[in-house]
Amino acid sequence: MDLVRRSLVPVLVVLGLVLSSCSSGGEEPTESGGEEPTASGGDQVAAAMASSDHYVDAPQRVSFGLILADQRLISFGSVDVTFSYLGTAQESVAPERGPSAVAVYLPTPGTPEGSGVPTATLPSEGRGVYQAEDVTFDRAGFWQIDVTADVEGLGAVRARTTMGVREEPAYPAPGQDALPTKNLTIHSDAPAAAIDSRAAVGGEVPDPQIHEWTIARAVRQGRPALVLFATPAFCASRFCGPVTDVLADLATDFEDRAVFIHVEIWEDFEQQALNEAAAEWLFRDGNLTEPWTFLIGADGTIVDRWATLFREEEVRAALEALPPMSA
Amino acid sequence: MTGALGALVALGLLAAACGGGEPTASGEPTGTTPAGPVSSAAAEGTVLGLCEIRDATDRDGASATFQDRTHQTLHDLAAATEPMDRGATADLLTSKQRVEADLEEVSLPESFGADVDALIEATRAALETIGLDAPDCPA
Repeated sequence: MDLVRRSLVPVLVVLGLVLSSCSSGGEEPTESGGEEPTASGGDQVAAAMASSDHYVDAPQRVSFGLILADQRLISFGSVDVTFSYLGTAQESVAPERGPSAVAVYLPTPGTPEGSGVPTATLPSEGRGVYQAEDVTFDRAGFWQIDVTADVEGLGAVRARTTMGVREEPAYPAPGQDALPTKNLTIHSDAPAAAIDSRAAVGGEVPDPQIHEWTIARAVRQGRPALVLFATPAFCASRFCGPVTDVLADLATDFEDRAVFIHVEIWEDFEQQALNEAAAEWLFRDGNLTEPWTFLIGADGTIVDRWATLFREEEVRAALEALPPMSA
Repeated sequence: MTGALGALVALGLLAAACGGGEPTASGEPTGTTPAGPVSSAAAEGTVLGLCEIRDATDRDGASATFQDRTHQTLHDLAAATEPMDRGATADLLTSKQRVEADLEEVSLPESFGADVDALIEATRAALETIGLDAPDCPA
């Protein structure tokens, strides 16, 4: 297998220090001089993007986290968001109001049940993101997200961040053909940790039910497939391990509806060698983001995709809607 | 659209933009990290949090301490160490995963204390990589 070097832009880890005012430099559009993100009590609140690879003229999910300066998270309930167009790297414009949405809390699997209203939590009490659905952007460029929430004990909270929208998705997207990738499986002649990085700890590839199939074989045989790209052991975020566990559970519960595939990101973490399968799907412009989950239909077309977290009940419903597979 | 947009990973930020290695508002030393500073206070709190749970018998209490006092800094530390020493990063993350696996058991396994000790050592090594000291565990 070819070695693929990754120059993954080091990322600030999930739910960590987040400063929505951080800028990457000259290519970022000028901030519009709006209000500082605050809670009414004066607490600083930051919004940080969780979703990526947004593009025009297609309804999609937008997710972000809300973090207080003392590292507590805003969890549970829902918040209001408005999107404003900021222009492009070449030409910024005064914010032009775009779509609005309600973003509903999406907990990381394992998060305890919480109240139905936004609440400041320690990570052990709640960790997750807020997700707006069916948001459609009409122009490529930079968009501002303004978040307002009524947080229990804090009052009104505002936060702001920016996101990019492309003309076309960089990664495989709904409606496109799935790439017929020959990912590593438990039948491959490869180090166990290249098949699932959790083997770097346990020595054996866990959850064999998600390491049986290649995407290529699923497409060739007309099998629906739920495919997760993640590195549960070497993840930069809190999300990879929990979503991998959920995939394994779904594989057990829906074995007659689809095949379930975990694609490990790293062939060799210490050597910075990416698995070729992960690179084919997710390595673009020198960067790779993960985790990503893709639902591929029996006809080999991508039906849906989720950046970082997904709502388990939503995926379960999609799987239940599939007809039983023949043996 | 720039490739940098693709780097907004999972609640991550445009990492380099956040000024790794710069002094914090309080003036305390920080380790150099492209993802954001790991302060000496965070480093100390993380190590002491691990020290606190290594003799734990209560899984839920240990899990809460791990989540609230150490987990995020361990991720920050891994991000900081990754460009400088991937071996140390791998040791840190695999040690962390082993402790996390212990915490997912119904009750803490016998190996838990040793696994936490290994994570403490990996954390010390990673902190050393970015130029930060780690406190000893209280006697």
